Amino acid sequence: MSGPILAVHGVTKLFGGVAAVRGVDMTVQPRSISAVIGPNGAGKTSLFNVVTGFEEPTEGTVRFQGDQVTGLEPWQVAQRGLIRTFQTPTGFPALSVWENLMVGGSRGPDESLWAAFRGGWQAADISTHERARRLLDDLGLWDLRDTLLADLSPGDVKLVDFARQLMAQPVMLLLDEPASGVDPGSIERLGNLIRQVREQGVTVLVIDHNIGFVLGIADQVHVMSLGQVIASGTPDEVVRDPEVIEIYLGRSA
Amino acid sequence: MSGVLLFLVGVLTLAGIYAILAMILNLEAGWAGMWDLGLAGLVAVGGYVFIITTQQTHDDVVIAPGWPIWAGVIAGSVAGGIVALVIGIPSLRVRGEYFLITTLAFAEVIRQLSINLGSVTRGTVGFNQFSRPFDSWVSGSGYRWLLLGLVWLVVLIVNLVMRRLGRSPYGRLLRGFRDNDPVARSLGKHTNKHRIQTFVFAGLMYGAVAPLYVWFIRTVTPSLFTSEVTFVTWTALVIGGIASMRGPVIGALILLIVTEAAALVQGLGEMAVVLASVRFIVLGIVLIVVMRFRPEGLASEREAFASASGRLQQ
Amino acid sequence: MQNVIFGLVTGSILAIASVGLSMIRQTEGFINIAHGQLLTLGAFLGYTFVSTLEMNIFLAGLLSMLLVGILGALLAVIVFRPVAKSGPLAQLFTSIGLAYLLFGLIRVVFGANVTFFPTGFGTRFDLGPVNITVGEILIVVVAAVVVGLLALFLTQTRLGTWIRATASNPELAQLRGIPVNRVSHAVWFVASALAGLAGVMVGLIGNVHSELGWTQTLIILAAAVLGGLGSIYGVLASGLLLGLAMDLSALVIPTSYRTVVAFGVLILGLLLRPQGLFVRAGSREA
Repeated sequence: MSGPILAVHGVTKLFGGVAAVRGVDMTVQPRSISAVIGPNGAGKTSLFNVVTGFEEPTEGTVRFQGDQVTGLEPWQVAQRGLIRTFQTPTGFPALSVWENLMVGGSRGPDESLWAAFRGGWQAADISTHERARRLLDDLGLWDLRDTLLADLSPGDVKLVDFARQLMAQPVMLLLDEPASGVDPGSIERLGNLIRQVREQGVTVLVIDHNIGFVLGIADQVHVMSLGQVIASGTPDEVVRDPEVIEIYLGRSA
Repeated sequence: MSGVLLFLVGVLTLAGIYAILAMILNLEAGWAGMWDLGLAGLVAVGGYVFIITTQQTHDDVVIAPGWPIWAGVIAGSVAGGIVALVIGIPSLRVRGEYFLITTLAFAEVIRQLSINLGSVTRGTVGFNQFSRPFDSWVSGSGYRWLLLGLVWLVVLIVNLVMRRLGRSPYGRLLRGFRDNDPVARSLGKHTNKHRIQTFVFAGLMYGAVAPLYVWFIRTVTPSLFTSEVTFVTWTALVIGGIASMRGPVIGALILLIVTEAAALVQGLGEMAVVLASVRFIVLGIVLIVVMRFRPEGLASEREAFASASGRLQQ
Repeated sequence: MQNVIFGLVTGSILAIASVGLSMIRQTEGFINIAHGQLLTLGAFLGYTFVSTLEMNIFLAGLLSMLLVGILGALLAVIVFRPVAKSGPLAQLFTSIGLAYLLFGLIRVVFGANVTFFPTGFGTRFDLGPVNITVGEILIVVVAAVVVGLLALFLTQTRLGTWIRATASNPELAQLRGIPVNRVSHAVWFVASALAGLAGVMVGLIGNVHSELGWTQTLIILAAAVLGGLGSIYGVLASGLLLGLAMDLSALVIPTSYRTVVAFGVLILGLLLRPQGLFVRAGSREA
């Protein structure tokens, strides 16, 4: 497929009189790993919310795989393969790690009321079980598979969130602060997993504060400040951009 | 047959009826997170449609097709489902407390309609002459045992149905988006559709089991379906343990036995009002005490679903 | 036109009762289903003072208000505070339990019969194009005065300011050093006293019976929710609105549908504006 997999044009989001996002243009190439960085309040999460349908933009359009997705419901956007994670890790607290992943990997028909009566879901998906097992292994969570999410540390919940969203077999994955609250050892695992995911054909867009983490895995970096994109380019280019340096000097990121 | 024994049979029958109501409520409120305060209205719809369609004497009402009992049960169930759909679509646009109050409002509207649409429902007079299933088989007081058995058979069936639903991917999804709707939607789940389906299913069930209540009380009047039915069901569920498997049945048994036992106290005629009031006092105290000392109820959701996750990877 | 008067009266009583419920919702965080029973208690106390003790109606009203207010504050400390840590749903169910408890006790103490205030305020006389009773005039006037006093209290006194701060942001209020316990007691006292007053008013124009609590609770809830639960002026306005709607509808529909109309308005209102009719999106005023 040629052309960007995600194209954001002139997106503005106003809350009352405040512009969380203002006139943002951004494109993401397929099978790339991109990142959006910027200080708190730069509008990164608001941008994610607009792209994934959790907010409607005041102005602008979002195209995913060439199709208009502006204003669609979150579940509709997700069903097209655009999957996101959330900044605060919560997941499904009453369900175990394993069940969380299974919810992510279940297809619509299996989860209907009819299917519950009819049965037959048990035999259905050996491949789903396989994927879940492999993901848990890769993230070192296999031993915790029967633990309820409510009983896990926030860092582990974060990892489970990531795994669960992966189970939905995304075409493109939007990760909102995947590394925050995660211990250094697991951050490395996370980075490897993201690269692995890209090898499998998934495009990844990451927001994170951990500049080191971002610069280590991203091909393209976009820097946002006060709702606008102020720089885009490879990690090396962006790190040397004077405007970017100015934002990060004297501000705790 | 001694009076106490007959009384006990009655209490256990009513407990069984509330156990069924509580299990249905557990599905929509405990697992799907919809705080329905209007179930009395759905039971009313089921009860009235049942009695209207099966009623044999038809001088003073406009609708009286005189169907057989099984057809009336189905009609009541379908009616419950339809009304649930009508209530659910607008109500699910609001959340939490607002949903609570909207459902309560709808139930009250239904009750008022049952009072005012006299040409269909006979208003406050209601229906009190009707046959009950199998009543030609058993004599007068023996029927109570039959009804007890029938009710608890239904309790068993509904319990099995709920277990199946609870352990399925559907039940799992419910307990997922109950606690985290945004994440569910981010996975492509159309959560509102699942909510509506659950709510309508609950309506179908409330409507289907309403005849049991009708056969027990032996009359059908608007006063049968006040918010008290809703609140007693909620209390039973909360005491027993919301979102668990055994909770609804345990809660209903304990609640009904405790509140009705108060009526066992013999007294003078003037004490009648006091005795009737004692039931409410006991109901209130039980609820307050349980909320104070064990708000999660007697059975917990964790225990109910613990074994489920264990046997998943085979 | 006559119905407008009735509507104003109903609306005034409704407004007074709903404001209290809304205040508790805002500062304590849950809907107190037992509110309606405090209204009933106010009605019965008023009746007892006027008929048995032959007190002057104003004194009876004041005394009832005071007693119900104190009871409300006491119940809050004894029954509700210990449950606060278990969350708003536990508190909601506690209030349902309390409602049943109070209902039962009221029936035991005061009986299940219907009765009315023997005040002689019930004679109708003409006032221009409508006829009205002294009782009805009294209710509207007292309601207006009480609302005015409440507004003054909330805006001009320190305690009132604290209440408003806690209502709009409980966590912040606590951090700023506002004595949350005192605020809580005050809110419970005021809200309960208002419920008691509403009860006396109901007794003044209608019947007093133990079922009052339940029938009134539903409508009060409707008014409070319609007004946005968080906005006092909104709740007052919606109380009046519902009262007017209920009584004006009597012109076209049989009066037995009164409560249906109230709920119809509620349901319609919530569907059009899920956050309540009078709340500015994103703001929570006291």
